[in-house]
Amino acid sequence: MEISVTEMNRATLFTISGRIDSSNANQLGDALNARIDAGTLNIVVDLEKVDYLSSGGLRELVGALKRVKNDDGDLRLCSLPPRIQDVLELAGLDALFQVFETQVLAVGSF
Amino acid sequence: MQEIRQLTVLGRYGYDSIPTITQFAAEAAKAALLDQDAVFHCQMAVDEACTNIIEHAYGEKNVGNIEITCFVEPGSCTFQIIDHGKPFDPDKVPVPKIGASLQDIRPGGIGLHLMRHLMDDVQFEFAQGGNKLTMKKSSAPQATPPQSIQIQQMPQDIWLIQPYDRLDATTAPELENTLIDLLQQGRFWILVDMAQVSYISSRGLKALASAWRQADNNNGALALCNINPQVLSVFETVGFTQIFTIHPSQNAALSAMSEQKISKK
Repeated sequence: MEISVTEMNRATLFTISGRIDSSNANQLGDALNARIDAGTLNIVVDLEKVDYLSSGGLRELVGALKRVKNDDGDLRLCSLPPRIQDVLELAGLDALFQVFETQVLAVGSF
Repeated sequence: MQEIRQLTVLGRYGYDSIPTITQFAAEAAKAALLDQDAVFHCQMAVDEACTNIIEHAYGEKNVGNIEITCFVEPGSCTFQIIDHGKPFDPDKVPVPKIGASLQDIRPGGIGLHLMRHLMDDVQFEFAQGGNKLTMKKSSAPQATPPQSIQIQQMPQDIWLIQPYDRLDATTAPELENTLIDLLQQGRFWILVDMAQVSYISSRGLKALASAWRQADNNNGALALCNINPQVLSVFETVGFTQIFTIHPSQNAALSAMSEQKISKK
């Protein structure tokens, strides 16, 4: 898994690629939490290049979502590959996240 | 015809063993000829099962081994996962509320919920001091493509090439190299049988076109046969039906090419 973080005007963009499972999900959690600790409230996570996401990764996303929502921020997802979209729905988490087709739409939504 | 595969996961590696486990599951599911979605579902279900074992049955400390046995047969794959941790009772795991609000979301139970939805059958037993989980997934068996491009010498020194599956940026170079090798050996009579090609990208088209030009320049010919309608429409769009001679079958192509070759002598 690779994570790149870009500060945009409206939000902080996390672009992730590769596989997210319980062996590396904490890296994602650490990256998100470090920014939230530094005061980031608006987050976009681009999952276009993610080819695998298990509950370990979902847990980190939900954890970060809870933290930013507490302070009136939000964590929004974009560019979900179909299989990742399926996982989100099966896990019953699709209603919690605002999901956008593209990065531009997700960042622009803030 | 059943094949049995086994993987012993050493507890001391903890979650670091998850990539090895998902790879094992994916390979077994592919060997069972499951479709791509089913292969993905097997990976996830086995991952979730082992993640739960490490986290709950072994409590993340002094993690014991996990034994995975997979029964592979065409169209179905059964995983048996054994651990020696705390007895697991699936009925005690709260069912995650679908559509629950953020405050009510509890991360626990998502793994079990996913396993039940991703696999066709999920059974838990506690026996002989261990938990035994059995999960089965089936799908219509997928045809296995040949592992590489087939090359065959036919009568009249015509060379038959049979590419397969998709001819895109990653697979076209194999065809390109096969054609270049033949041309360098002075084989200028080539028939490409497209029967197993389901998709062609510009890279694939380019490989065929440059080989066609070389064959033509050397008083030979490169012809095609058995093109499926989708691929043919790509040929039409780019005007390649004007360049290539396209035959309806391999036999028709071979006899036409033999005659053409004899008349050129």
